[in-house]
Amino acid sequence: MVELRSEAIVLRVVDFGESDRILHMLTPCSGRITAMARGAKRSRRRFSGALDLFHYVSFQGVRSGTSSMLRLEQASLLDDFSGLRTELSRFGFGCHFLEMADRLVPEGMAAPDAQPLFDYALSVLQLVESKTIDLRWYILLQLHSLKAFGLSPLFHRCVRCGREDKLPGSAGPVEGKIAFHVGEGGVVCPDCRRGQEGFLLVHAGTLRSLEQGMSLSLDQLHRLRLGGEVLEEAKEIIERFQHFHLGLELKTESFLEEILSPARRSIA
Amino acid sequence: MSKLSPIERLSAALRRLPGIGEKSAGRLTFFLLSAPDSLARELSESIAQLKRETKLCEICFDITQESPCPICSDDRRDSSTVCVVEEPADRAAVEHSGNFSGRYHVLGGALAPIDGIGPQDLRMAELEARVRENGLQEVILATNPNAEGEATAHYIADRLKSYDLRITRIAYGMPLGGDLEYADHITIGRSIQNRQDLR
Repeated sequence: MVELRSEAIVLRVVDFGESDRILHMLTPCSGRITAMARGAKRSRRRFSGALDLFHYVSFQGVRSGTSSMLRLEQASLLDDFSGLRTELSRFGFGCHFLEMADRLVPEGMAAPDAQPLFDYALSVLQLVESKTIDLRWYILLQLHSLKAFGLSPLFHRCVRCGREDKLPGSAGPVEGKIAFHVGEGGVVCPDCRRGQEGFLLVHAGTLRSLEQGMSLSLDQLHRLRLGGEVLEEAKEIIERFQHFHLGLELKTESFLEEILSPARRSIA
Repeated sequence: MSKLSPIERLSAALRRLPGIGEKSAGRLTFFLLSAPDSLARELSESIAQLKRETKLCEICFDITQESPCPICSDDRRDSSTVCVVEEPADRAAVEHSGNFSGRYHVLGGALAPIDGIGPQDLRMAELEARVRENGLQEVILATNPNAEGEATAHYIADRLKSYDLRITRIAYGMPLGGDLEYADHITIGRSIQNRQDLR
């Protein structure tokens, strides 16, 4: 038996049987973990109010040698990020971020790798708690999160030959749109794509904005302005990139699509 | 594909129920095999009757044998106040408290993006129609006090804010028989915020 005491963000809660709950949690010591909380629905002392989505908790659990699932003994609430529940776009993006973390953060990470991810997740939840998430924020936060989870597209140099000078905006010879290859996860210069099809053609300005978005810190993101055409192009690139590299569409995407759809935006 | 034996078929069917795993399904199957015929017959008939004779109330969407349900048809109840709950079991719990004499509206769940449940999957339009057409004076939001229930309550409050009515949320606080020492600081904080005069 190994005892584990740490902090965690609750990513997912699944009711199990009469009163138990299975939790997916993001921890600073070992990345994503799965835990079983026996009697969670009945217990007022061991888990008082702690086991819910978004909750930042301190917990204690034990893991037997053969099981990959932690048995949760006790958890106490440190922060509930209550602002995420009070507005639909915040709630939707908050859930989307949790689902991305649940899918992309591996189980059993080493602490030096897990700690920065955990700190990043806390920062995102704190930021989103006070924002109304429109399409611009969705794109910037989505791109930023993908990068933090180790899945960032390459915008500033050709994904095949590695050259920067062949791309527009870098004093190279080519003007206009740039080819983006979803499967290869980056832009392809005209020499490398000659005679080939199957690329997304994107304005150089859009790619520069996205590159800039990835290089800014979370608290600097508000500085970046994105126009209407840039937003639509950026949305398509990011969604197609994410679907290809995750191999699926996240369930929270349709919820966000409904909230952020043009019809709803025009009403707002 | 080979045909399932009766034992395998029942066991597979039971495994589809919530909270029933392979071992529990096997135990129940073998229990029914050795139980009197009358029990098996009663079980199968009551399941068939449940599906045949229950429906949703056309007004509140609670489960009922007749539509409108007995609560929606009861003229003695306060028709100007509607208590919004997530599921029929929540309606039963509020009714069991004996402290509410208005009508209900069962949403059919709560907003849950992680499970792909959005506003269009809940009976929101029907609630709004009741507010618009029936001149309600108060809507009590009794969704669960968890992330999804809270988000749903805020969403409903936002959607109904243009109507001239009182929108209230069930109170937060310490559970009866609770222990302050073991309660989380947010629950205690809300208990203080929602405190009541004793005299």
